[in-house]
Order: sequence, then C-alpha cells, then structure tokens
Amino acid sequence: MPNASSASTTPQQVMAPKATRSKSTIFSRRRAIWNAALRTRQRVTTRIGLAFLAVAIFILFTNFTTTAESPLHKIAPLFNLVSIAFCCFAGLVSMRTTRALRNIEDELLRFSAASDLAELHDVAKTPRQIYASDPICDGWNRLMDLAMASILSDTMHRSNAPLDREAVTLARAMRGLPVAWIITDTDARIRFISPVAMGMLGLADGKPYENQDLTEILGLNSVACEPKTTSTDVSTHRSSQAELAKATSDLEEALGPIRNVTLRREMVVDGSKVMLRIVRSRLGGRSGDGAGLAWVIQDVTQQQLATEARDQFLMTATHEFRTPLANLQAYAEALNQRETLDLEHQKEFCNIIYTEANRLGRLVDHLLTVSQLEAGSIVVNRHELDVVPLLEQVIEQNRSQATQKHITLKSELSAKLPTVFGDRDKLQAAVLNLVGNAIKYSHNGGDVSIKCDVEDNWIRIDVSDQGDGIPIDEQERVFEKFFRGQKAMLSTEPGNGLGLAFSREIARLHDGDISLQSIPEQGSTFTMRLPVGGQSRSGI
Amino acid sequence: MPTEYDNAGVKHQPTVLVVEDDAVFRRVIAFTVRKAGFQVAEASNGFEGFDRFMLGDVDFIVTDLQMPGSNGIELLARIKQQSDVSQVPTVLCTAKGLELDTEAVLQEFGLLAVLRKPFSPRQLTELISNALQVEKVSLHA
Repeated sequence: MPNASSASTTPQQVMAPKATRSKSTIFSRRRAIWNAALRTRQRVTTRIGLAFLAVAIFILFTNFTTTAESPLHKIAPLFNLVSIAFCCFAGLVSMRTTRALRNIEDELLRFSAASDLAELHDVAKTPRQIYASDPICDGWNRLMDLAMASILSDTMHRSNAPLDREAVTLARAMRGLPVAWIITDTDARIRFISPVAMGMLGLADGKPYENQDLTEILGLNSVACEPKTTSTDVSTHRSSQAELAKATSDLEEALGPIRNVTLRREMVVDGSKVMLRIVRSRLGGRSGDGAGLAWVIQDVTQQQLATEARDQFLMTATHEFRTPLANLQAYAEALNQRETLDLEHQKEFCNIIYTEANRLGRLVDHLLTVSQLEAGSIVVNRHELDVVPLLEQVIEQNRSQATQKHITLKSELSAKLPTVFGDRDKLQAAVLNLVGNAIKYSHNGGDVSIKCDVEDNWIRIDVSDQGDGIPIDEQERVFEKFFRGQKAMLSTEPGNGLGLAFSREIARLHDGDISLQSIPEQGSTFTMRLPVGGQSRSGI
Repeated sequence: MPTEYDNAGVKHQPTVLVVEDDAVFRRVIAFTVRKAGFQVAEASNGFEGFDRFMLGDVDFIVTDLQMPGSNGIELLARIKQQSDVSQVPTVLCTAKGLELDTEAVLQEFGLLAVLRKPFSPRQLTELISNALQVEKVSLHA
C-alpha cells in the first residue's frame, strides 16, 4: 500500500507548511504596512494636523501636571477649561483653513499620480471645483480654469489635425494628377504649378517659378510672328495682322472677367512645336484669399495633327475627284459640237472620256477599299492559290505600259512555291499597284524586276526599279493615304496617292506586310511578304 | 494690241497662253480655245509659262493653280513684277475647293475670274472673247 499511504500523507505534508506560511505572511504584511506607512510621506496637511495635535496634547498635559503643585491650583480647573476651549477653537479654525489646502493637495496628488501626458490631460479635463471662499481656493479655481481653457484650445487644435491631413492628401493628389494645372493670382502670376504643367511648358524643375508671369510663359502677351516661307501665300500679310489682333484679344480674354475661357496657342517647347489648349477659370474669393485664376493646359498637338491630316485628306480627295471630273465635262462639251468635229477627234475624245471615267471609277474604288480596309469591314474570298501564275498575269498586264517607256520587265519566279491562302483579286490588285508604280517611276529604258521566293515561312515578292528612289524621310509616309512624294508630285505621272496604302492594307489583311528599301538616285525595292500556307496554317 | 494687226492690216488671231500640268485637260482647253478662233500657246508649269509669256505676244492667260515646279500663283507673281506687261487679262482655274480665298487672289493679281474645276470650257472661251473684244473696242476708240 505504499501508494495509498503516500496519497494520504501528501495532503498533510502540504498542509503543514501552508499553515506556517499563512502566519508568516500576516506578520510580513503588517511589517510591510508599517514600513510603507513609515516610508510614504504623509500629506502635508496631515503632518500639519498631527503637529498641531501634538502641540495641543503637550500643552494640555503640561497644564494638568503643573496645576497640582502650582500655587494657582484653585483656578486650575478654569485654566484647564480655557486651554481646552482655546485648543478646540484653534483646531476648528485650522481645520477650516487646511481643508482648502487639503482639497488642493488631493487634486495635486491626482495630477502627480498621472503616469503620462495623455492621462494628465484626462485628469485636467475633469477638474473638481473647490467650494470655498478664501483667496487660496479662488486662486486655485482660476488656475484650473486657465489650465482647462488651454487644454480645450489644445484639443481644438487636435481636432484640426484631420483637416490638415485632408489638405495634405489633397495637395498630394493635386501634385500627382496627370493634368497640367496652374493656379495664379488675378494678374496671372504663378502661385502653384503641377509637375505635369512644368514639363509641358518646359520649365526646369529646380527653377523658382513663383510669381512668374504665366501669360509671358504662354506667349500670350507677345506675338510669335513666324515669317511664312511660302511666297505663294497671298494672304501672308493679312494673316500676320490677324494673328496680332488675335493675340491681343487672347490676352484680354485670358485676364478678363469672364468666368471660363478656352484658348488655343501654338508654342515652341524644347525646340518642338506644340499646340496647347488652354482652359482658364476664375476662382472666387476675396482678393488675396483664394481669388485667382486656375489654368488647365492640354497638349492637343496630336489631335491637331489628326485634324490636319483629315482636312488634308478631304482636300486632296476633292482635288483628286475634281481633276477627272473637269476632264469629263470639258471633253463631253467638246464632243457636243459634233458638226464641227472630225471623226478622228470624236473618237479620241470618246476614248479620253472613257479613260477619265475609268480613272474616276478606280479612284472611288480605291478610296472605298482603303477606307473599308482601315475600318476592317471588307469581304475577302480566301482560298489556296499559287502566287506564280498571279504574278505572271500581273506582268502581262503591265507589258504594254513597260514597252511604251522601253522598260524591260525581268522576272525571277521560282518554279515550285508553296501556296498562299488569300483573295486572288485583291492580291493581284496589290501586286499590280507595286509593278505599276515601279514602271511609272522608272526612267525610260530602265529595268523593273519582279522576284518571288520563299523565305522561312513567308512568300517574298520583290518589285525593284531603277528610278530616283524615295528620300528617307518619305519612306514611311509613302504608305499613307493620298501621300505623294515630292518627286511624284513634280512628275507628270498621274497618281492619287492611294495605291501603296491599298497594297499595304491588302498585305496586312493576309497577315503579311509590305516594306520598302530605297536608295535615293539608285532605285527602290518594295517587298511584299505573305505567310505560306493553306487551310492548315490559317486554321479554317 | 500690236499683234492683232500687222502693217498690212491683216488681222492676226490673239494668242491665249494655257498653263496646265494635266496634259489631258490642257489638250481640251487648247482645243476649245482654238475652235473659238484664238491662237494657243501651251505650257505645263509656271516656269514654262513665264518663259512663253516673256516672248511678248500673249494676249490672255489661262493658268492652273496647282502645278508641279512653279505653280499658278508663282507664275502670276512673277508676271506682276513685269509691270509693263502685267495688264494681260488672266483667268485662274483650280481644282481646289472652298479653302481657296478667291477674293484675295482676285484682288491681289487683278484677275478676270477664278474658275473652279470642273467648269465648262465654253464659259472660258466666252470670258476670253469678252475680254479681248473690249480691248479691241478701246483700241478703235
């Protein structure tokens, strides 16, 4: 049974030390309290009271002890009574006086008990008025009022803190906005400017911009009269005068009383011309306090270019339509005077009308096709086809034109080529354009060569001429609608500037492309690449 | 007009200078003007036109506006500088649309008319004969 005995003895063993410990803790606690009482400094008012009590007891004690042997023992009881009454009176008076002090001391203790500033604030926020009529309490109350007021105003400031944070957030957001904004005073002197605006106006980052005149930066107060180089512009003089007048009215408008103003301004920033749309709105407020002008500047150079391109396109298109139309009308009218016209002329004129009508028809076709191709709304009939017969046909179509200019058409066509998945008519028209161009811009007696080969997964068709070549700055632009190179413009060859745009769109429709290598004075090579493949490749 | 009558009093046809880069159109204008009883001198751009004009026998100018090399306005400007012969009546024809400031051009060069393509060649020949008729009358007076 060792287990049972051990189980039964264990509690006793445990109990015994517990009992002794509880005894010792009582002692130690008492000692601790005593020690604490000795160690803790008594309140000042308590100490004053204790001191007073000690003095009173001492006086009474001496009274009672001395009166027994004193010769004045007959009046001793009276003397005792008087001294007791005096002690009581003094005690009452001092209690009354020290109560105020005691209250103040209590308050002060609350303060000194606070561990940190926040707690101190909390304590100070709940002051306890001390109701008494002596100047010390009054003084104390007023002191507390003062503290209270300062704390309140402090917390008021604290409640402003979220507002400040909002302002900071807003300011950051304004700085980060991808908008070129500028805030100026009513005289257009800059007060704030966004980084985007600084970049747009080409202002250096570190440069002080404040108080700079914005109208000066925008060139609103000076007329940027650029001398127009084209002597052919009959209205140059007029337009410069108009510009001057416009600039003056712009400045007036910008600083005028109208709430919202929109201006357009061309500027040169870092050497490149930019078109700026300037929106200005008036900020309300008293002068010196919020009143001013807010400006937003947009770079509309690209839109401007797009608009110009569209206008140019329309102008060229109408011009291109008017020329064959003029011919049609003139020849029809000439034909109309049949009685005075010999048969040869009649035939000739009829032919010209036919040709011009065709030219007009082709123009319409090309224009439509290019627009449709660009809009992606064209129907293509794709099937597998051999490129070589297609090219041979194109060469045949061009042969008469070539012989007229004594041009040799050379062809290097590989015998066996993979097929292409494409629209025969459209591809043929595209290649026809390339070959036609090559003949058109070749010198008499030159060579035009047509090569066709496989290159990786592409069928590569090269059409080369030995003409004047295309200047480097025009090489990308020749594919633009209605674009005609300087030399093409000067040449008497008819052209509408749509052919290459058409051919490239067709090639791209077949997942291919047309590129150009040209060396001025040596000739050009247009390369059309079409992906090899039938149905397997296209996945249809 | 010194060229209209020679010493023997034989009537010469007045000469009309046609400056036009589009050969097809130039041909029909020249044809129509010839039919109307005038002599025609042809030029395909401003340079050629000016050289032909300087030969001195031109009574009327019909010029296109847009031409490669030297365009119609350049031609007119050069002719204007030759103040002694700048009185020749001139018609400008153009395929430009409304973007051309017709009034300004008319005033600047004292043109007879600006014709927009397409126009009727008969309209042109009427203009020519009217202009030259008036001069004939003034000569006789």
